[in-house]
Amino acid sequence: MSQPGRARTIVQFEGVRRHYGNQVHALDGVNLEVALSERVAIMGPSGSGKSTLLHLACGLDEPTSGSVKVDGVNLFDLDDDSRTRLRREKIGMIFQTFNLLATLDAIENVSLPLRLKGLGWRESAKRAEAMIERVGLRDRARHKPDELSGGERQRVAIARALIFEPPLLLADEPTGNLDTATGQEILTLLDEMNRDLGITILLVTHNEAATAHCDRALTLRDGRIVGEHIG
Amino acid sequence: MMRTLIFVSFRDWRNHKIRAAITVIGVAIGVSAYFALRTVNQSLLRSLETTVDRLAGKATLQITAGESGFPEDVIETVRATDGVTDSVAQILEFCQTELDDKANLLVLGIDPEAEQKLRAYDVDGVPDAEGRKDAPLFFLKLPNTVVISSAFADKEGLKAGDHIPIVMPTGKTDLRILYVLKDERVDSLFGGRVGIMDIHTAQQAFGRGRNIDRIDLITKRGIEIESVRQRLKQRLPAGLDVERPQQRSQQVENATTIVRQGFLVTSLMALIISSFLIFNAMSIAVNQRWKETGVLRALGVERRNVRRMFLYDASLIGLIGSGLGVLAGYYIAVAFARLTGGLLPILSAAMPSSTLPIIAQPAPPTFNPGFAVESLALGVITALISAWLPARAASRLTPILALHNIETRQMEATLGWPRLALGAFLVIAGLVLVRFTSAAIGTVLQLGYLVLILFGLIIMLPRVSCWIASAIRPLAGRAFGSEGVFAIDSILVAPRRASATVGALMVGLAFVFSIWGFIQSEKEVLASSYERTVNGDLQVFGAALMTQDFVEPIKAVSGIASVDRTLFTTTRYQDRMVALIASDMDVWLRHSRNILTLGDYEKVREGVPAGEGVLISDIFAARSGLGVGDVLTLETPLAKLERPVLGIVDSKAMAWLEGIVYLDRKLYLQYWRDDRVSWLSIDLDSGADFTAVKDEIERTVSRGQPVFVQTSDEVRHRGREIISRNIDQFFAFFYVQMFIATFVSLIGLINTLVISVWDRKRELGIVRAVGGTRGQIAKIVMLEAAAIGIIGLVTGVVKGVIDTYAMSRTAAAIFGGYSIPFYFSGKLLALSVPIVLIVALGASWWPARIAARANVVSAIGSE
Repeated sequence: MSQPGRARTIVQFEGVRRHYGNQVHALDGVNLEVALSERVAIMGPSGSGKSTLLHLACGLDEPTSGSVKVDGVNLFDLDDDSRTRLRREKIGMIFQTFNLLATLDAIENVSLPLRLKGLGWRESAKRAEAMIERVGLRDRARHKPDELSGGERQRVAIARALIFEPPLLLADEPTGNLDTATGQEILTLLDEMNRDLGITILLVTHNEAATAHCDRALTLRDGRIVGEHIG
Repeated sequence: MMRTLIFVSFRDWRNHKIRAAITVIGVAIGVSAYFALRTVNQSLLRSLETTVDRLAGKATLQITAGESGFPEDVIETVRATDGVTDSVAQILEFCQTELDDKANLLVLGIDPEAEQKLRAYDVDGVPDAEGRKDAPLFFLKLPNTVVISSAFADKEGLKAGDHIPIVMPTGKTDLRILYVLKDERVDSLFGGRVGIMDIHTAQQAFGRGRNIDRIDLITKRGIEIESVRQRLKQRLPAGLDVERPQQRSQQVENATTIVRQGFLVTSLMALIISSFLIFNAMSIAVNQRWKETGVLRALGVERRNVRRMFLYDASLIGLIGSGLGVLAGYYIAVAFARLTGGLLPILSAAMPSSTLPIIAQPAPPTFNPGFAVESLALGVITALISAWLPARAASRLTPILALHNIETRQMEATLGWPRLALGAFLVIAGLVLVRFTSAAIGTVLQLGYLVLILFGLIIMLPRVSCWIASAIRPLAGRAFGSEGVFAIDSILVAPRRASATVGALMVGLAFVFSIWGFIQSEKEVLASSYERTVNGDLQVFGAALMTQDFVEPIKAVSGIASVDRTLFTTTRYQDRMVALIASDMDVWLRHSRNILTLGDYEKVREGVPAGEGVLISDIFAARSGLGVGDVLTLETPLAKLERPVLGIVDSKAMAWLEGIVYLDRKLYLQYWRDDRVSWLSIDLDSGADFTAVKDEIERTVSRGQPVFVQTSDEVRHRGREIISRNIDQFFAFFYVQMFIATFVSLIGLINTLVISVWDRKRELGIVRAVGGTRGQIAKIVMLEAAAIGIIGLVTGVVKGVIDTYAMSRTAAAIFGGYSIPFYFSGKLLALSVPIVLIVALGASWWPARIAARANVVSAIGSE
């Protein structure tokens, strides 16, 4: 599903297969290109291969065959460490289950990627504070995850994913654990981030409403892209 | 990046304070045992050095022989040797006083005139009417006088002018106290129980003839001490040692090597057990931080940095635990020194009697920064080794799985067949090496075999734990219903979590079983060997060595058929001290046919009493490599003694000695000029009345020193008791170690259960949510503890049997130069079943409480 004539390609899947043994074909020959600043939703029933596609896009999983390029670099030409570093530099991730570190407060969670990149304490905290404020959680900055609501946790997760302004944000069911209103708030927040920071968003979701916030929506079934809807 | 990861780790430990505390305590226990033993060792060695130093004074060289001493005319040769300015002879004897507490006294026989040139004594209240205050010991030339240490005077309430009744080989004597010596150096010897006599008076009183024990000398300034030493070596008989005082302390140090090696082994054992605890805690930390690690990986932390993060954790915990361990170890050493009043009981089994009493007062332990650094390093290294596998596991986890909820976690993998085969191979290889190599191969290699076996068993442990858990699962189900099955399943699902505790239990219990078996077997072997060495109908012992004049009248008592006079002393063989038994061999051999393990009895009967050959003990044979027909060469105070070995004697009763040489009394007299006797073995005429003969012997010697006359059966019985007590004393620290092993295992068990409860918070919450009562939850946790205890017991018994076998072949060989029969105590096993179960259930009480009281909603919500 290439999109000729568009802006710089940030994610490119070419003939990607991901098989688990002989029986399970999570992805079965996926071709996909996502342009910089584009918002793409991946939809499909459970077991269609959505999460596998996302895991391959960030290099956490390896394809059985085919190639996955992020910003022109084939992830699987790289060794694990280099792939990890690329993830650190270019990919932000948010999850349905938030995956915040329970022992750190909101500011510390958000500043973590910057500190892992070697930025100093103060600068990291300053930028994290700004990002926390941007996602509307200024009053909750020193709270730990178990003291936050689901929506607040997801906001923290978004802030953490975007603190280092990666060109690509991968979101795995970001509204899956949230009520409708909170889910809507999160999607609006992602829109703002896309608009303000020019971040590419690849969003896996069951939520039909989410497609309204995307430029394109792809439908996956049995490991193949079977439909595309331009928003 | 590492700073950030350390920060994340720090937060984790702060949130899991109990896990952190238990891990730190685990390290601290191991390190404290190590540091305490090192400190005790140092205290002992420092005491030896100080003692030798104090006895040496200004002496630059010392001349000594074995316990028998050497002729005093040697001093003329010494004085005539170029480079020697002053020399002074000394004898050293021990005797019993007839004071109320029958206190023993160390008597230094000195030459009052010459002594002051080497050693100045601080005195108080010396009669100076004759203007001899510069030579306070001068008055000792007065007959039957003694100067005593102030410590002894204070303890016994004695003062100048009082008399001390003393039992000497020549009989009881009252010594007049000339004055009390106020000298700290003297007070520190032999617990302060020291008397100083004129050397000639002492020689006479102790039946030493013209023999002395030591010559201290000062060499001329400007002349190399070594050259004087060489000159003296050339001029003096080869049986005399000419050494610098420091070398002598080295000799004494060598004599304590076995004890110190034992200390080292036990302290390392504590570290090994601790390492299970650390492994356990680190594995659990990895399990608990599974998701966190996945998040970090997703955020761009490389595998190696994940591994480093866990290793940093471990080293920090190791450092804190070691720091606490060092502090605790120091206070343990201090307490140990205070409680036991020194190391005398332990050392008594391992040191030549001539050295032992002098060091009865070890220096108080001091804090050694070098040991502290060493212990810290060892603690950190142990923590790092223990954390290596968990850290590696953390770095290899699949982030995708970690980022999912708990239900998607995979069952922990047990070890594959290749590793199981490797474990089995190591165990079998270790056993084969234990079985087929000789003791002569050396301590390090022998201990290496045990390490091989230990590693083999550790590698197999997760798999073996699963096997045992699977085997008891149906029984648990039948006996305790679904709670039983649930408890066992938690072990099957996480075998590594359980196997670390099982490992600690296994090592702890195996240590208890094998040490106990070893000690019991050792006692039996030594006691039965001792019993075979007791000959004749009666045994006569003196309070001190008996002189020939003293013995002669006893021989004439009616009813006595024959008397075997035996002197037990020490001599030097090459670079080691060995025991020497000089006996009336014709009588001795009549009774001793069954203790000859090698050699032609008839040739022995013919040659040894005639002084044409000697016998050696099996231990001596093993250590020296000498066999029947080889020539034994001993350097005696008079000349070189060379005799063929005619037979080998079973002498395990004296296994702690380096070995024994047996020779005829006449041959000994000829080469050592020493006719004293340690004990008499008497054959009675047939029909002679024991009581009548005993009374007659006691009447005959009534004016001399008191003697103890006992039947041989009484002596054998008493000997068995003494051997048992000595072995218990020798292994006193092992008993402490057994306690430590059990204690550490208990902490491990609590640790595992607490963590297991936290780890399964969600699962247990689900059980509560679907109708499980608090009681059922508590039961599950307690049954899991009991199951871990049973698995630990089974593996502990298996390892205990293996270790006991290995110890019966190696440890006995290390300590004594021989092997002992395998002994495994069924009674101890039967006793350990309820103890282990009680300990396990006790350890589970708190975790069970936590589990039962957990909030169901938050438990189900936890990830």
